[in-house]
Amino acid sequence: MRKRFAAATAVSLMCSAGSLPEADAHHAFAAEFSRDLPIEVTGTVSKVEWMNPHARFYIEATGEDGETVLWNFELTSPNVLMRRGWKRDSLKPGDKVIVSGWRARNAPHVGNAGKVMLEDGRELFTGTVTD
Amino acid sequence: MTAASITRARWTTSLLVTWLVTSSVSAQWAPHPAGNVPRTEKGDVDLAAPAPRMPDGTPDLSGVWQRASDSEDASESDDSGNDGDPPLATFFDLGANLDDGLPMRDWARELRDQRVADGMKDNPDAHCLPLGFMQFHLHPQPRKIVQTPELIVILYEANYGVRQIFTDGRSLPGDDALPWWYGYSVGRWEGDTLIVESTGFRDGGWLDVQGSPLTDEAKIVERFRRLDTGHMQIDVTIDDPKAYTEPFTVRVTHELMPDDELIEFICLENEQSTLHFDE
Repeated sequence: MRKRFAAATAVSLMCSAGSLPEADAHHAFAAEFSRDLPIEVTGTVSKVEWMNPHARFYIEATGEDGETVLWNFELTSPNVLMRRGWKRDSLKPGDKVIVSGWRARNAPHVGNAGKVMLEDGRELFTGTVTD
Repeated sequence: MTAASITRARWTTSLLVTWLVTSSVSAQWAPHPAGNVPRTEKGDVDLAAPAPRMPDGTPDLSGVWQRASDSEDASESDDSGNDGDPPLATFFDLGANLDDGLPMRDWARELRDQRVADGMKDNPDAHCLPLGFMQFHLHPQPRKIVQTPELIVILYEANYGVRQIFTDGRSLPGDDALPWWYGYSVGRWEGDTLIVESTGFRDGGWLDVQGSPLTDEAKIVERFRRLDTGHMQIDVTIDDPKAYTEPFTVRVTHELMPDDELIEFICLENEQSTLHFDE
């Protein structure tokens, strides 16, 4: 798994090197999240919100005690996602995903999605800039 | 975090097919050719052609523009300040390419440092309020210039900002004008350069993401030059004696987004981030 994510990182960097608009900067990463709180969550998408200032998706995952946990993940803005090729059904309820990113400092199940990998191996652009 | 309903084996055997994106045209309006730009025989916008002009002969700055890629971070290779040209402005730290940074007074530097220490959580942009003056120029989301003979309007996709630059000969308002987030702007042409003077800013502004201050004593002069159809250069001189020991000038560079359009951005429709900021 580590090797796969390392490969994905390299390709993501290639994707961001073009002349397309880069990530949204509605707020600084540090205002909400911490690079000292890395997370990796596997689960099923329950809802996607195409709204500003950040698109969001929610996934149901299994917590350490076996309970179902609902995670709220932040992406960049819908504007940037659309310009980077997202479609409205690029991520939809029922999709199984692996999300790696960083947790909010003040909310245990809110995260910034650094990488989103779908079951078929596609990796979605997220627009994360960690300052 | 433990795995949920899918097995790692399935993930491991799946092929890594990263989603490569090639189109720069937003998937909103169907592509529609802009009418004010020169085109090649194939119909593409000729980015290297001379800048289009208005009927009165002045350059036409109209179009959808994005910041050039060199406006993101300080550039080790940036030598723009060494040949008499202003150093390139950068989004997070406006003065990153100045040899000694922005010439801040002590209080201004302390305030900027405190804003950084607070994770920049008080940036107006993070609260869906208008971006700082230079944040608008440097934001990764595009801006659209609409030029008429007597008024130039800049529509900013980021936070749906709007700025008016009057080119009808009026003067700037007096000192008793109510301070505005965007200030008051008047413009005039000197040759092919649009000179825009702005005053009347609200106090407590954020010039950049790090929170370099802008005060109500600021006077800003911008020099817009459309170098060719595809490229804009804006030299910005900020004279704010309350916060800075001397005026300074930085350069902003924009690239045309041919036949593209702005996308709606209503910031407050689902703002949740501030719920997770530190008190």
